[in-house]
Amino acid sequence: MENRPIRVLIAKVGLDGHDRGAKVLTRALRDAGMEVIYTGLHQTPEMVVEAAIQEDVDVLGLSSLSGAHATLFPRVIEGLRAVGLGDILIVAGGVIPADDAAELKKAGVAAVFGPGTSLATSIAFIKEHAPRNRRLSHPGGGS
Amino acid sequence: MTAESRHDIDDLTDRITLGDRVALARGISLIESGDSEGLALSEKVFAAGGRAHLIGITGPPGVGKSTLADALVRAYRTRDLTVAVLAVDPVSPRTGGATLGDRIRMTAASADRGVFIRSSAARGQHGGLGLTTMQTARLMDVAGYDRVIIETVGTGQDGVTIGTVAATIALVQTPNSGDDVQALKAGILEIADIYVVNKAELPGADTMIEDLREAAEAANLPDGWRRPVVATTAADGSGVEGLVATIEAHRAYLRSSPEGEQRLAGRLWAEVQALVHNEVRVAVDRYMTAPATMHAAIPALMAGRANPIQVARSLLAARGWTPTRPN
Ligand SMILES: Nc1nc2c(ncn2[C@@H]2O[C@H](COP(=O)(O)OP(=O)(O)OP(=O)(O)O)[C@@H](O)[C@H]2O)c(=O)[nH]1
Ligand SMILES: [Mg+2]
Repeated sequence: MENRPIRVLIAKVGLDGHDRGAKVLTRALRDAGMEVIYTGLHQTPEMVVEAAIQEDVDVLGLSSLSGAHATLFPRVIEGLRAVGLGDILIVAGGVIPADDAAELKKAGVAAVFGPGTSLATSIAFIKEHAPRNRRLSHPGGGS
Repeated sequence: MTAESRHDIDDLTDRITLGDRVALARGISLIESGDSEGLALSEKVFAAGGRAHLIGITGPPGVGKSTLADALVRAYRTRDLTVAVLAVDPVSPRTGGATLGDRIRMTAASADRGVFIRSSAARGQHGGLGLTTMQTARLMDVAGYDRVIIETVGTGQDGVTIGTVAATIALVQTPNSGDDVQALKAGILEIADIYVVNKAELPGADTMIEDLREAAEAANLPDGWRRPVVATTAADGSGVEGLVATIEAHRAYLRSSPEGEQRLAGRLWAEVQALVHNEVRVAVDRYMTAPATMHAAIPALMAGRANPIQVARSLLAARGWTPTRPN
């Protein structure tokens, strides 16, 4: 499936009602040639996992401004691993303090894009690290 | 294709038919990639298809197609039917990228195993509809979903239209579309089986309903299906039960009239045609963009020693194609 563009899911978890940043990133990734699925506000971890399964994305961008990241992001990551989709590249954005960022990286977030991160940096990171040629036949099948 | 990938396809097929959602999602990606594995998968599952009822929802941008699809999903779920949705969006021709936003309106899927929603950028297919759409819908059918809803703003390529993709087609308009019924894309009124006026709570709904009733009169054949006009407010669900009942009535009609079989034949043939067209287009593109082909012909054209018609004829002749309009 090398010819497939990178598919990205952008999800807002938590209760805050701001999605300007998520929308800006969505558009930037589209302009960089990716297929971007945007799910809207107030997603629960379960909703995000379901969407990532159904959309078969390579990359998941999680955003939270409300401090929900510390508890909610790890639940998303666990949910993905449970169905064998632990190879999805997970990046995080929003307002995330440095200490939390370190914790999230331990939990499996590949990169945390803080408020100062340029779009170009985020795009370059995703292009470099998105999993390519993911297995066709045993998604989630272990082995 | 290697023996290994053949084995992989067998395995994926088994898992899809058993209702494995992760496998279904990966299978759709395979089809979208256009690789030989995707074709192999489509071939493999063909015999298991044909159970689901395929419902097309088409109409201009912003009329509420996704909101309506979400409402339909909820209504079908209360009837204990499972539903898959395929939301097709156009791709930016410049960057190849796409924003797929239909999912924002589809919240019914959240945690319900009876619902599967996929956003598709169906690349390389003008307006989105094409072979990929047909094959993806079949995969959803094979995965066991009772109803497959396909959302699209409309057009396709190689003769693929919403009419060659779905069995029951709902055309959605809004009161704001004003006097646009006249301006609708040629043929869509005939292709559609059900006319929907969504956002029916807005002023002007009655006029729109009236206009569509007239259009239905014009499109209906003497002894065929009588196209109903259904008013909905997808945002709060009103009228949606009526729409489900109408869709189901059309499904029953197709099962009891020869039209059902005729249309199935039309859909299958459209798929064959799209497959042949795809192959031919790829072959022609390769031939025409090959440096050898171009370098041989362009100098003569530039110097006026040959004209485009001659060049085209000789290129075709070199490939054994005889002109349809001989000189
Ligand atoms: N007033 C009113 N607004 C509605 C209704 N149904 C949907 N909308 C709104 O119409 C807008 C577009 O709805 P969508 O469901 O995204 O429309 P769509 O046809 O899928 O749009 P595209 O996929 O972009 O072509 C949203 O803001 C909806 O909330 C309705 O019954 N009444
Ligand atoms: Mg939509």
